[in-house]
Amino acid sequence: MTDNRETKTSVALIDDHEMFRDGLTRILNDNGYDVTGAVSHLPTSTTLV
Amino acid sequence: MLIDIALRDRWTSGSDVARLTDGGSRVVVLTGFASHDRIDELILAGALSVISKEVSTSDLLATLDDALSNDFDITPLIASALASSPNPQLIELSPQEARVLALYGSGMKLVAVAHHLGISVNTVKEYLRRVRRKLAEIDRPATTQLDLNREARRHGVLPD
Repeated sequence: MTDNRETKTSVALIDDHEMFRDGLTRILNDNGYDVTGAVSHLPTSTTLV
Repeated sequence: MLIDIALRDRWTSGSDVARLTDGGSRVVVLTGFASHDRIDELILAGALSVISKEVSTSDLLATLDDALSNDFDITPLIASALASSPNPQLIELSPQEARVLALYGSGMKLVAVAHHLGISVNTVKEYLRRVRRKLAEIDRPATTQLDLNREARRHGVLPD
């Protein structure tokens, strides 16, 4: 799929399964989102976004 | 933020969602195994949507788009959670207990559950022992795999 959005929405992804995290990061980045962080644990603040 | 409902050692809670939304984040939850009560709690805490990990990529993106554009989407998971009546006769399951209950309750053999989760057969047995003990404590003994299938469905970790 191609990304036709002018402004990308920032997304932080929290999932403890690395393969799922990596795959979804690629899917989101390819579909108009900007994955700013992908980690396995909940952050203590919202600095990922 | 896109957050898995079952992290390695604990469930994502309503207070986690509330803390993140209070900080200005919009939260969408992903789930593989989760009870209706847990989904209900996260929606009430401010999660925009709950998306099953089993949906197609296009459905996931469409639901995410809808949620982030404030076009609230009642996903099948949310509808099911909201429609279920509260049942006090439920036990508290850890994420791994829920996974083991769902897989074994679906009819898989112990060795297949162990292989699927990357743990030993003895560890699977230990999780099942914990689940059975909790069920016995609420007077719902589950001695057979069929009993566990019934409990898995009752707890929302397997579809009805």
